[in-house]
Amino acid sequence: MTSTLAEDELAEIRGHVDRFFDRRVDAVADRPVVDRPLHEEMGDLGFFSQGLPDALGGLDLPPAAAAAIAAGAGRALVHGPWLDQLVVVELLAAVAPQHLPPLLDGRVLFSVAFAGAELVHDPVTGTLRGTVSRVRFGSHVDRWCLVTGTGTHVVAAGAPGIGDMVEEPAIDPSWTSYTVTFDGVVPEFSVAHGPELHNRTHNRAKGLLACFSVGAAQRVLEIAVEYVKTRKQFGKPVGSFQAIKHRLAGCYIELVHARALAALAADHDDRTVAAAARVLADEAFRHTAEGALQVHGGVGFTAEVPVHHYVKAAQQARAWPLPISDELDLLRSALEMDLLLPEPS
Amino acid sequence: MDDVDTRALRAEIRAWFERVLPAEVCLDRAAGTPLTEEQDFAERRRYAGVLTRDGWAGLAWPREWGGRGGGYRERLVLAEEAARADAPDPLNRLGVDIIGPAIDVLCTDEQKSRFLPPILRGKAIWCQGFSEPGAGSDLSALSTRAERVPGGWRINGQKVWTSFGQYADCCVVLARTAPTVRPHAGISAFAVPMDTPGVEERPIRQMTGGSDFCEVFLTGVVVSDADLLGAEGDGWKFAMTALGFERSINFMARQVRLTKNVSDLVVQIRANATRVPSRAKERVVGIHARAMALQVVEANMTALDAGGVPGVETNASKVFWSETYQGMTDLGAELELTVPGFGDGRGAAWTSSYLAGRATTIYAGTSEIQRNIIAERGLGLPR
Repeated sequence: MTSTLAEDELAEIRGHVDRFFDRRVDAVADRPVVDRPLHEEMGDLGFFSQGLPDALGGLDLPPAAAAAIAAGAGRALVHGPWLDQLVVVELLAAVAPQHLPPLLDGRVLFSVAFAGAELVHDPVTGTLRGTVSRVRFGSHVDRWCLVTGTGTHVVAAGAPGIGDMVEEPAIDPSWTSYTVTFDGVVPEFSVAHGPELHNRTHNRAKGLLACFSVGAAQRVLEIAVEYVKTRKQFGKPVGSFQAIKHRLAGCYIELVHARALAALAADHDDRTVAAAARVLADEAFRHTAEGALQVHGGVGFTAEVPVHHYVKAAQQARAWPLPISDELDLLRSALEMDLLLPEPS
Repeated sequence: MDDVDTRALRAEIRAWFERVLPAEVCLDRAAGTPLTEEQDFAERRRYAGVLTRDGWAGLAWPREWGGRGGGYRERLVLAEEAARADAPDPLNRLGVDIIGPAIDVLCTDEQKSRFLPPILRGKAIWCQGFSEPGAGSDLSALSTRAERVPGGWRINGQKVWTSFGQYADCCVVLARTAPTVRPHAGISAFAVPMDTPGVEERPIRQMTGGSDFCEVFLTGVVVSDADLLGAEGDGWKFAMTALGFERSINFMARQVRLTKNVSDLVVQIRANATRVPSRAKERVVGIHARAMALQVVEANMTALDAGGVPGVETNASKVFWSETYQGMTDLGAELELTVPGFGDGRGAAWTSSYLAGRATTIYAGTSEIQRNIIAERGLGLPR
């Protein structure tokens, strides 16, 4: 990051992003697993390259711009792989910028998966063996970017040597992921790096996912507010009743604080902040989506209004890039080790 | 994160606290014994004295009135360092952070030069006479009346929950001056010296055992025209301006203190790691995440320095802060009561905080009123 954005510049980017997704996404319709034309347009608009330095063809925008894209995609509930594409661009920019060009126009789509010791890279044959879970979007994307503590391997989806692909349980049909067995797969390319880059990429994915969740929570709150202003019972808009007001105000209270922490997480490479941001974003998103459903009454339970998409996405967002329960464990062990609120300095 | 300017300021303030607190302020703090109410008051009195003497009381006040002309950022640094040093709650918090700034916004030059310098010099402690037995959340239902008499006003009524009332030199009294018009429009604000004949305060004993607030009875209290704050009928505006400052700069100090308290709780849990149940560790993680979010929201409030107006985010943060505070003290009290030796070694601090914390969702606008405000003004829901 070499530049910072003034609040009005950031607001302009947010407005631009939100209008783009509003125009491109039908709120009520089911989302496709991967919307290729949408991603091509995102690429053409520079969404994937905006954070790169001038020399690599970017606009040199700070991380807050990617956070704005994440929040906008969250509002529209576009799951991906834009998020994967953004973090892979950042990773490759750091270690292998020569591989960047195919990613930037959104024609070649990447998903990212984080792997530990269960994936073995044979240094002699250069092949991959092992089983990796949460490989997002499976064959709906073109490349899988497998990030480990010792290096990153980019594999073509469907490459020879890929064995079983078991679809993982999903509540949201547009959010698919697979447990994939690699049985002597030759990566398109591999780059060696240390655990720092794995951790940074992981934290970045968490921060952007938290921004996605908060953007989605904001939108579903707006949907609920619009509905309760117009729906009448007992001769009055139901939004004039205190039971409804307090429930939605409670969502807003959570949202304001989850949003602040998500923005910080997207801007800082810090695993405690990233974990805390995910925990608060998860709570705010679920509570807001569930609250929006409840204040809609019966119609909230139908597919005629978009609320159900948000309810499903809120549950689904708990699973990746790290299950929420693992985030809580991470925070708890940080507490036992050295977790403290950053002291003013 | 500090920029260059605030880094130097922080170092200066930190060194000041390290020098002044043990030598001149916290003279009665012995290990194992909580302060008595008298010791606590004396400590706060000494603290107010050194803050004034060394110029920190007016850090965020305009230079015109003897302040240093700092803004929200500088005030945040002071609050953070005060929390870090475990400084007492300043005695004239209401005057310095809430009433003084409101006087600066709404009053005449004569009133500013009469009221503001004594607040800053620690010569005048102020309190707020807003709530009444019949007017709490519905403040505009207040029934204290002020009627015109030659050269001034005569006030009759009763106030309640008046913090610092027993120590105060002057009280901002909201009174109805025009009973016939819309409830909000007929209210005026008066500066009433507490030694005016007809003013009587009676401390209220709280569930904590302390008496931080009073009832104030006003019987035929006569004040002059010069004591009307702002114009006749500006009382509601005065109250809202004061509440705006209460929600921004005054709450900042409380949120900063929460950060410190949560860190203390974490340290104490770690010190008793083998004896604290894992369920408690899970709970403190959520509290910690919330405190972190409050810290970020607080830091973002520095936008107020650039002329921003506090919006309903501050109402949201008041609720979030108070509920987080209660969650923290609930956990701290449970551990203090169930894990032998748990705590800071200075007595039953968490159980005291637990009791005191029950007030946080009530004072400065109950959580229920805050939710109404958020729903109506923030989300635009119909009344």
